[in-house]
Amino acid sequence: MTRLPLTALVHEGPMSRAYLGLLRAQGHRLERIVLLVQSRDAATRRPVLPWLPAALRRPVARLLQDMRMNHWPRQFLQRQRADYGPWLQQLAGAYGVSPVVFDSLTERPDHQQYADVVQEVLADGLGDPAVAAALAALPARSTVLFTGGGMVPASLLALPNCRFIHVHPGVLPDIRGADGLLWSLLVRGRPGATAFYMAPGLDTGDIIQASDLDLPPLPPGFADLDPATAYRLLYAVVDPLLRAVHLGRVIAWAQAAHGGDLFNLPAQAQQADDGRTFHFMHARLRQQALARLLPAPAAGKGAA
Amino acid sequence: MRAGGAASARRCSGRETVHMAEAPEVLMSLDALGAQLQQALQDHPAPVARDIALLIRGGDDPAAAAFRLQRYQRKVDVARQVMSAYDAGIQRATDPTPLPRDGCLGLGWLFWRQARQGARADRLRWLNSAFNCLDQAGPDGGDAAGAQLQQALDTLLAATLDTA
Repeated sequence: MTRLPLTALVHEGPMSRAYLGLLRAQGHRLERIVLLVQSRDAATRRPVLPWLPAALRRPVARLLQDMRMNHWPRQFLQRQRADYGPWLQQLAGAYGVSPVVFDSLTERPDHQQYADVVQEVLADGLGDPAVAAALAALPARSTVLFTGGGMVPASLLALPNCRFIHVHPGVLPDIRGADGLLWSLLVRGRPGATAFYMAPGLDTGDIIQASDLDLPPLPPGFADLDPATAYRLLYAVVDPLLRAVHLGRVIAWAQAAHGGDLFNLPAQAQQADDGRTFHFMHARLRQQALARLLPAPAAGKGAA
Repeated sequence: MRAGGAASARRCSGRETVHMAEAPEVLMSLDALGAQLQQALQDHPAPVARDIALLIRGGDDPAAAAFRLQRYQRKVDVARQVMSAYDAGIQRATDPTPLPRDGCLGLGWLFWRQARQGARADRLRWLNSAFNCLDQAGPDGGDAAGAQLQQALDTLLAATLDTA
């Protein structure tokens, strides 16, 4: 195991699980995990047992967020293991990673296996002062992997001891914003990913590496899934894997070419007016994006 | 007619799927839909509805019109609701009443018009917003306008996806 100079700000869910699983499979152990334990139930937005003292409340909130945020990977990969097992092998093979990565999507949380230090922070979102306090206490020149979606408050990005890395599921600056995987399929014909140092603003910041990625193999019966299930499957398994694969490649490159220093990798600035920002994709277009994943009909078949 | 001439010229290029969207009779009926929506909205009590009528009519400073259109696009796509009145920067609602159905259709029509030009990625982005406008307009109230706009969007989407 190599010790990676990286702190993961873990926002529980398939994305963080894929990062952690892939890094472990590639023989890396993180310096530290700051595990965000949401003080509100992700489904109801109600505070979780607010009358309990924090020491008792935190494990309950952690368990609840694990159940909520990892529901779909477990639904697909555990309950339908027989159907999806061979596909997972194929999917991992397509990107040159070990299929054990997928174990991390479904197992019960034991973050100690991924990092030397695991610090839990009970917080009401990223804007909670407890998150800022935890990150401000990190050593100087800490590289922090942001493993959630959405915006990180500018106040966190401004912490002088931290630099945040995020992997966006699209080639920046062409594909900014939400549903990056689907927009990449529609606009560029294939998935993509970009690792960048975060800046205030949506998917802005200096680009470390951006690449188009190969189309993923699909499980049997994907074409027959209703669009909502197909969408969930992509976001529970494929999107997290693609981001993790890209992160793994960036780390391999950083180690080979830059001595493994993730804090100050060469990066290309983005201009404010470069690229486009996309919003969540409407069902009508989503259907077309999902169709881009399916193999093209055989030549001549169905032709007029 | 300008649009019809362009469409006819392109119909000869052999890319039929693209040009079905630009058939002159279809464009004329959609122009008529725009005019009908503009008329319905121009004296509406909701300031946003009147602004949409102005944008449909055209003739504004292009930069100012583009800014307003982008702000409304963001309301439709991100806030998921357009209200009846906003402050000058179209950021904060000053009247929290949702925009009436004709206003949503008018906005959808404007986005459809935007989606007929420019880079493919931009056209898809405008089409996405136009579909969201239809959702916000709510179920078809028996008027032909919603159905006509829906058909125009479906046709243009198919044509746009067919282009490289």
